[in-house]
Amino acid sequence: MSTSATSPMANKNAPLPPSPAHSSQTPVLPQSPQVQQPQRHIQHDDATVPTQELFTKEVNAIALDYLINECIPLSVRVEEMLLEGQSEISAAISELKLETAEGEEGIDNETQRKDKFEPGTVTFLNDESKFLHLNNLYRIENYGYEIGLKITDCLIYMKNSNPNEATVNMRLVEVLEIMKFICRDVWKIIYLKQMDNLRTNHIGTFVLIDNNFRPLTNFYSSLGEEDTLRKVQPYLQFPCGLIKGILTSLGIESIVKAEVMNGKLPSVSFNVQTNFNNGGMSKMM
Amino acid sequence: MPIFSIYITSKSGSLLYQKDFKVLNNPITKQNSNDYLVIASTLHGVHAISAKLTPAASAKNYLSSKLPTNSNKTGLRMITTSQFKIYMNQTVTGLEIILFTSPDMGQTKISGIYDKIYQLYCDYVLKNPFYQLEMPIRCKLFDDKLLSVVTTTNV
Amino acid sequence: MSKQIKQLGDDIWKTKVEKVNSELFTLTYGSIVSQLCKDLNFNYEAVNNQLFKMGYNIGIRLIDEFLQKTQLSRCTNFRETAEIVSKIGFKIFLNITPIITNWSADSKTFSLILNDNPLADFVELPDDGKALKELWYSNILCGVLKGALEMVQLDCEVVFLNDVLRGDESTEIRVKLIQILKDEVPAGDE
Repeated sequence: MSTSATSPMANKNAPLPPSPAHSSQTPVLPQSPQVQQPQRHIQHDDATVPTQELFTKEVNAIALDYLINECIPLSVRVEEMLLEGQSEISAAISELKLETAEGEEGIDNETQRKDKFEPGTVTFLNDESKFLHLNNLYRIENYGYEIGLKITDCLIYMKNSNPNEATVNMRLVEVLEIMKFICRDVWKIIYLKQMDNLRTNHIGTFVLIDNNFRPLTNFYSSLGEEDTLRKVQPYLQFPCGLIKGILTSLGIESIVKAEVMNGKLPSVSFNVQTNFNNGGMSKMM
Repeated sequence: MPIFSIYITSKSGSLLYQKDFKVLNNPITKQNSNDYLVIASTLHGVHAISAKLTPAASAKNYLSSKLPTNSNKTGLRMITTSQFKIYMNQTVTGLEIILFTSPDMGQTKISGIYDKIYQLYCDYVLKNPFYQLEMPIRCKLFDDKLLSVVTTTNV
Repeated sequence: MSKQIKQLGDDIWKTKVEKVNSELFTLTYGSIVSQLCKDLNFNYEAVNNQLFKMGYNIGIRLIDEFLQKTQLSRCTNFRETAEIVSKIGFKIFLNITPIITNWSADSKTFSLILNDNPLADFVELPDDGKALKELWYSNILCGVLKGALEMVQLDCEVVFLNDVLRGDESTEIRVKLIQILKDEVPAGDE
């Protein structure tokens, strides 16, 4: 698994390596001269006016929902391709060494390939050994992570340039402040609602709770609730990666785990373990 | 003006969803699951035949009727018996929503219900990443929401 | 007619659509493509292919959302389809209206020029000597169009011809109607 630092895309947005939020040349900002008056980003509905101001443009939330959901089948397909690549190599090797195993691999691959473009199918779910495979979960987490890394600066800039919003403390030194930032601002912009609850044990562990986690509101497996809960896991890796990425971009290492609360969708709790011992804090959200 | 049953079929006529609702004095007797399949595919067939019989020109007149605009313009719309009505509506993608209602149910009201059901289908079936197109719909959320639409109508 | 279509697209965008920030969308797509390039070892042909598949899977589901929200009925001709794709389809999902141009003589092929592309704002392709020639960064859009049109029985070929990311003057998607899938036209709307 490669790390973010080797990102190939010379995306101007990409901080490589992740830079601290308060860096003077915030890499996330495109070099656009006309940013004097960024307007409030919501309810900006007249698209016929050429709007070059930053953070004023919008797209349909459904487009983003579908895009993020499609990451999971994508990841499974990538996994299969990688495995195929490996199996072809290993098949070639074993042929060389043992001169057996004639063509079997090839046939398997072909039948697999045929399945892959049937419209509307959800075959990616069928093989749980792949769907729930660690590599798969890891890759999905990484999609979120990459976004998290890049989005922090973007969000802070956006909030600070908006006269109608309270400015974010640019330094975000307190880890609790950072968590609040995630709960309020990050969640609001991505999932269109804030987290419902934030708890901490004051020694670096935080629990963030969303009682109605938007991406999961319409998930249901035809095999029943238990199956749904199992299959939901890869979809939870994405927001986990996102949180982790944001924390990394602010210099905090973390382990993030998500679970469906009490087995009841769509409430989700995110358990964030940081390397931060934040002793005396008692104020909560 | 109660709704007695809802059927949803795919564009090829296979039954994706069937639900009978508990209604006082429901004139429709319960059938076994095989019969539901037969009913659905028969209705689908009749719908197709009536479409074939409709000259293209007369389809245009439909535009001014109270039908939902996003449905196909020809094909069977309604069957009436002394005890109930069957309303059929097909989306442009071919999904067919069939409602069994009491005889006093009007087309205007049906259009509204049809739209709500279509919306639920988009939100809770298509956006459910675990749902495979053309397969029977087994989504608890869809069930729940549909039931609440029907309950409000049937009150 | 064209005006009405535009009006409808604008109205739906204003009143019926939940919106998210466009930069977030750009970032999300960017990191997916970036990760995909790494995973597939910069085999851009395979990347294009995967992006197209993603789009296709989205398109075949998104079309019903589109029809439900717009209340539109079947198009009477392919020119109308083009108008609707641009002024309503792109409008209500991405809040852009690509320009329709370069109609072929038989009215079966047209181009969409994207002056604004929310997938690719601020993006630069990797400078590895390959990407500029091989990667169609926004290929997911072709997949979406292909999938959505196919579900309303329009079998089309949808490909990128140009992309400003590659240094071209414009970003151009070519849509070609191959056939109307007669057999699959739902009985009831011939």
